[in-house]
Amino acid sequence: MSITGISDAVTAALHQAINGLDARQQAISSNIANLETPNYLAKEVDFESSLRAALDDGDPSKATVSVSQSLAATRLNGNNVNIDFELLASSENVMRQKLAVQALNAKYQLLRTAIGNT
Amino acid sequence: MSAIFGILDVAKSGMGVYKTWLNAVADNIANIDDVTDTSTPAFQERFVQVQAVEDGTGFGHGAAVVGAEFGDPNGRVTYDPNHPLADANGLVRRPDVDLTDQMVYLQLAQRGYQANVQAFERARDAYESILTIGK
Repeated sequence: MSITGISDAVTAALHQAINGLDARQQAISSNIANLETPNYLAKEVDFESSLRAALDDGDPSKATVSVSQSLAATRLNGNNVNIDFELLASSENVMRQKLAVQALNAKYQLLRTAIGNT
Repeated sequence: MSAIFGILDVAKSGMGVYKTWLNAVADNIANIDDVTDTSTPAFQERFVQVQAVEDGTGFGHGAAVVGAEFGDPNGRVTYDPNHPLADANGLVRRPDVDLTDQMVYLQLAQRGYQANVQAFERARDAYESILTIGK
């Protein structure tokens, strides 16, 4: 699925990272939407460990995104969403995503220079 | 991933849920002083039933209002012989709604709504940054 020469391990890894961060953003938004839903358990998304393993194997496109339920203590209504944590994670997640996008754009800029079309 | 810009939908569902809750609380407070005669049921406090929504990705797709529940139709029977609706024993029926409860729910619903607005803005930031890829 990758175009050799343009897409390499770096762009593939950044692509996976943006995908994973997008999934996490969705989970965080869902947690915030279910702040007071009885018996709702917060969702946690992990892609970093899988991406790291995939990078070690030399093929970042093999990385997967996994989701699990938070084991934090529940409140009286069986809900364990922690609003300060979710809002913090939401801000941090967006910054991480912007970082990945910047890195990807820097990579493309490099390619543009090489192609000679700045 | 589901729809394009799907996270905005998730935040929207949250805002909808909390707005419905705010409506219910406002209705409860508006009717808190209703008086009925003892042969008719009292105003019943409104409760909102909410459930998490899944979209098959496992990351969740927000929340949705799935129904309403109602408080006790018997309300509180109080002695008020001068009231025009009082029965032969001087009794009238008032709704069993507690203003303190309602004010707490009001705060919870309002804060929940604000948190979802924040989630919406964060998601918009993220999408705006993604749209700059390749620029």
